[in-house]
Amino acid sequence: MTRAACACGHEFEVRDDLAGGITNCPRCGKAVEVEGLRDPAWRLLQVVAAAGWASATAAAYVAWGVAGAAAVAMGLAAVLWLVSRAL
Amino acid sequence: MLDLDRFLVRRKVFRILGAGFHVYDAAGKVVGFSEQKAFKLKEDICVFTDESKATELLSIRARQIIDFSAAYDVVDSVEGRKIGALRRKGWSSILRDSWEILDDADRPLAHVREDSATLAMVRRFLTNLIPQRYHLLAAGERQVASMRQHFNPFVFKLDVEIDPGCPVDRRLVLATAILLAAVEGREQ
Repeated sequence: MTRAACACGHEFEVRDDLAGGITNCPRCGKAVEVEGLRDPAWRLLQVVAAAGWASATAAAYVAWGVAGAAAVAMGLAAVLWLVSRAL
Repeated sequence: MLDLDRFLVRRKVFRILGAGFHVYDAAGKVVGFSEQKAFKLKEDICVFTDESKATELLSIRARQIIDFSAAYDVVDSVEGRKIGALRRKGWSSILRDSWEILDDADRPLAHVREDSATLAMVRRFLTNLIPQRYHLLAAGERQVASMRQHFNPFVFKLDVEIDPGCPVDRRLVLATAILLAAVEGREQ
């Protein structure tokens, strides 16, 4: 089962096949987005993004030292956050 | 728009990003506009009252990014609640487009099937110039609506006729027509 939380404050469990989708809150009846953590493609994207972030940070450390690695790490993290918000 | 027995969904031609669809009533008046958002990993389609996009009526969203038997949740944006879902039958649709219309608890209400298995094969393997037809079948294989593509290789147009006694929510029928235009129409 997957957990869903409604804006009305009610938390409830839904079937796994609803993960990533929308269901109605059993208390207020409004549409609630269910976390999409079971989406295999989304998980793969997260793994690829994390691996890319780590290798770019490591490469920046080798090339420019700690300051360069920190800048690249923070810059990439900001980009990834923006992309994840857009999806 | 949500009480029409007959309407036409027409894909917007000059659009670079995403896709747009106009909904016309029987008199040829634009009664709705739908937009498929670009740069979205998950399909996200909104239906508005007009092209100004001031009033959103429906939202159709895929559950997963990649899904062989893709399911799309349909939300009434005015009421703010899910009214049902549409699920593409992945294996069956390889040879013949087949969709299920589900209620808000994912129970089957009706299904949509491409008209004929033979024509479906011809469309897939010989030519896609043969317009597609879909039958919306409720319990007992009773046809309650039909969708017919116009013969037009350049502009996708889908004519929708709903029986007055159709037990399926009109909003779900509209969502089905727009999704068929967006998903199946894209294959052309």
